[in-house]
Amino acid sequence: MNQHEKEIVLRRIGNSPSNAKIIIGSVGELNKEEMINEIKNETRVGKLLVKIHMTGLRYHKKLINQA
Amino acid sequence: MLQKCMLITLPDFDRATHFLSAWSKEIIDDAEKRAIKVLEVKEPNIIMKNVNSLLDKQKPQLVILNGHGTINKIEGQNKEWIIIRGKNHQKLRNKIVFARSCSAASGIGIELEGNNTGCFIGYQEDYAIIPDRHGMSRPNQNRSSKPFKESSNIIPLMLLAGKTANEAVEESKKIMENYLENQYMIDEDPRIFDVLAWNLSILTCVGNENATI
Repeated sequence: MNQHEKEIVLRRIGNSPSNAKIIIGSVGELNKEEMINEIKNETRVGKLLVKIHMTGLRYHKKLINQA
Repeated sequence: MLQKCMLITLPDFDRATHFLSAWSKEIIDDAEKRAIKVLEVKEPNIIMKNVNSLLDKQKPQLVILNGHGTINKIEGQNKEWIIIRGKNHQKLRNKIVFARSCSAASGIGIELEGNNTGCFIGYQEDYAIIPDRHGMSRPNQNRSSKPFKESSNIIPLMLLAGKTANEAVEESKKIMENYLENQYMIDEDPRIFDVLAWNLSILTCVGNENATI
C-alpha cells in the first residue's frame, strides 16, 4: 500500500462525521472506526477503501484543472 | 405483438440488498406503466433453478440482477448463487442485462462479449454506497444515497423507454458527473464525492452497445 495515499485517506475518513458509514457490495456495512482499522491494518478492504477515495481525490483534481 | 418482459431479482437480507431492492420499486412501477410484463423474483425464490426456468420459459428481454457479485458469480438470496460463469451464464446471452452487483462485468460480462445481440451492463469492481447516518431504514428517502439511486436506476429506466444500452450507460455517467461537478455533499461529508467518482470509474457496458429491449 502506498503510505502517502494511506495517510491522505486516513485523514479524509478521520475528518468525516463520527457516525459515518459506507456500504460496499462484497464487504457489507462499515462504520468510521472499522474503515480506519481496515486501512491501518492494510487489509484487502483497507486497500479497496484507499483505491475508492484516491479515485475521488484524483477526480477532484481533474475538475480543478479544468476550471 | 409479443409483450415485452423484464425479470428483476429482489434480495433483501442485508443493508446492501435492502437498498437495491427498495430502489427497484421505481423501476417496476415504470415497467408496469409501459405494460411490460414484470417477473419479480423475491426471497425465498431467488435460487438458480427458478431463475434458469424463468429465463428459459419467459424469455425476458431485460434482466435486472440486484445482489452481491464477484467476477464469476452473481448472488440471489443469502449465499445462493444464481448466475455462475461456466455453468449458466450463457442464459444471459442475447438479453440486455443490468447487474447491480460488484465486479460481474469483469468476468461474466466479458464472457458474454462476443456473438451477443444483447449487452451486459455492470460494474467492474466493488460497487459502493454512502448511506445517511440517520434513517438507514428508508432507502428511498435517504439523502446521502440519492445520487447512487438516481445514477443506477436511470439505466433500466432508459432501457424501458427504448433507449440503447450505450445511451442508458452514458446517461448514468452524466448524472454522476453532474453531482460531482456540483460537489454534492451532505453534512460536510466529502466521501459521497469519492464514492460517486469510484462508481463512475467502474461502470461499463459490454457487448452490443446498440441493443434495445
